[in-house]
Amino acid sequence: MTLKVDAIRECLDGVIPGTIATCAPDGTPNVTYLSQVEYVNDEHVATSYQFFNKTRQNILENPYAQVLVIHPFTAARYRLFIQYLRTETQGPLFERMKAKLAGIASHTGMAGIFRLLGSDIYRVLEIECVPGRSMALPPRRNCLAGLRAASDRMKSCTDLEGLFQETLASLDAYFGIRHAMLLMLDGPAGRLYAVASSGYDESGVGSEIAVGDGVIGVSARERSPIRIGHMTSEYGYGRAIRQHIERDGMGVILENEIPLPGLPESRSQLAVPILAFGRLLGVLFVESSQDVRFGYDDEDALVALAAQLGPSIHALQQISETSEEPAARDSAPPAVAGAALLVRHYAEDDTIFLGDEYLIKGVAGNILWILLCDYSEKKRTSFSNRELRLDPRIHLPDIGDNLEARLVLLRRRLAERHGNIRMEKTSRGRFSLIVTRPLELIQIRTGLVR
Amino acid sequence: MTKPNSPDFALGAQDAAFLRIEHLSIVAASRSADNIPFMSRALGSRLSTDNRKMTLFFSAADAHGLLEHIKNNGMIAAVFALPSTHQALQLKGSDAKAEKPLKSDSKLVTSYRQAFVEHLKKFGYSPSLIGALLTPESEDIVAVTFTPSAAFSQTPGPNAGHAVGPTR
Repeated sequence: MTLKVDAIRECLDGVIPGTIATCAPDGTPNVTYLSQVEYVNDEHVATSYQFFNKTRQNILENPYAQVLVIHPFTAARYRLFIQYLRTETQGPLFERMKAKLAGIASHTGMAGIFRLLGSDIYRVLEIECVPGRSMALPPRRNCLAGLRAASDRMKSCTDLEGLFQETLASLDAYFGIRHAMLLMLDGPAGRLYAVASSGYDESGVGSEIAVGDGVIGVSARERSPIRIGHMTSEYGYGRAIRQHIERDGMGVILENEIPLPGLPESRSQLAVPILAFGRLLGVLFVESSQDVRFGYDDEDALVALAAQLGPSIHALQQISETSEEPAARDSAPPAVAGAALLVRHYAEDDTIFLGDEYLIKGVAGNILWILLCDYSEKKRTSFSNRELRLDPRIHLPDIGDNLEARLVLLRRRLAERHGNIRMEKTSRGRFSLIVTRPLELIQIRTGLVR
Repeated sequence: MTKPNSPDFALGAQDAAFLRIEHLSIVAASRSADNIPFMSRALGSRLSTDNRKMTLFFSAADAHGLLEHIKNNGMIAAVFALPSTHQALQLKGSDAKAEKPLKSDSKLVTSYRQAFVEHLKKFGYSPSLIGALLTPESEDIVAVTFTPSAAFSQTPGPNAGHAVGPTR
């Protein structure tokens, strides 16, 4: 059987460095170690171009080269007879390699020395299995079986919150991935916000990261999976950094940033973009404190999972706004007693504080404020997604914005931070607001004073 | 400084000392008549006492292409790297020749394997994995000797590829 690159791609994860041989036009061979060989597809690989060295000079003059790689678990060796085609200096492949190289550089003490100038792309002409001893491949988790089981669970979900939960639970159950989060895109703001997570002390729901920042942000910007096998500060995503300590007009210190959850010693990270019908919806992110925890198979499995997740998110959002079930009668809210809970709303960025505690800002803050105003002024407790979508007081950033995801985030955040205000789903596309203390609403128009 | 590829080239004392470190990772390449390279991992090395001749050991089955090419043109390049520091040196030669190993060479191959396995154990590589990597399928060891005619530093960084002379 002719070997194709996909059959040997585990050798390309850089556990044991590969080597490349080239030849100058005068017939002088050259051999050197490679920091990185990247799987492109069945017939192509890419190597990192970091310095203008002899290898680089040779391939530009004589494109035929050879790469020798070693399987990290069996020690099987493969010779790849390759032909240099071109160099890419931007785009998904380049970014994937750049992120991975940053991890490799940091792991090998080469941070600041290894810098990707380009991805050299080669056609693989032939792969030879080098004669010699090798070991049996140890038994491993079957990603395809895991994918099927996860897919089965996801397809029976009927609402977005359930879908998020089932996705994260499936990662743990079928892939042994304990630390994961789901982030949704706020396109106009150029930010991603966490809507669900698993395996962290704090859920971090509501925390944000800019498109382009860290593994998650680069994955969103490039719409490409980004996978790192070693810890690197270059792609750290500034978790737990509370930079936004601000003061309100009365000098009260306000902390209005939810820290992004994350492992303190994250060594392996994989971010996969979630797309539907050509549109980026969000990012699925997983991590581990183990080096090289995620391989090509894990990446494939998560990309396939995200391919189901995207259209499912899209469909469940549509359903929540179009197939609304009849409203239950909006009975007057039950009487509440006790000291009033102060709810402050900063109009500038829709930041909401419950008492002295920061709750949320942005679109979710805007929605909550409208709900609370209607509750206080009109004694309303029952709401539907569809009416919120049409409400002119709610400023959704764009027509495709996932309102249901904003509500999932808000519901979760309320449940985590305060017991006195809750949102409970009553039927498809509908929910009720449950308030157990008297509220005092204060609108602050001046915004936060820095 | 003696120019690389000069017939007067001789390895500097520091480079010779580096090449005598037992646990170096060694990979060599030759090339066909139409300049297509062929590469193989060496299973050990021996530097002559006068530093003029480098001998590399290969599994004949593994290095089939390399052996065929050096028979035709003698061209060889070999990189020696110390995994713990990434320090690396590449030697070039144009008179490579395959020969029968000396009786004592099989001891060198065994000792090299043990030293390399031990060294990599410190970095978490399993001894059985590295052992398998360096154990030939059968006792088909072949020795390839050449006269180094140039040496290049290949320690990663912008200076990689610079020629090193005997005055270092």
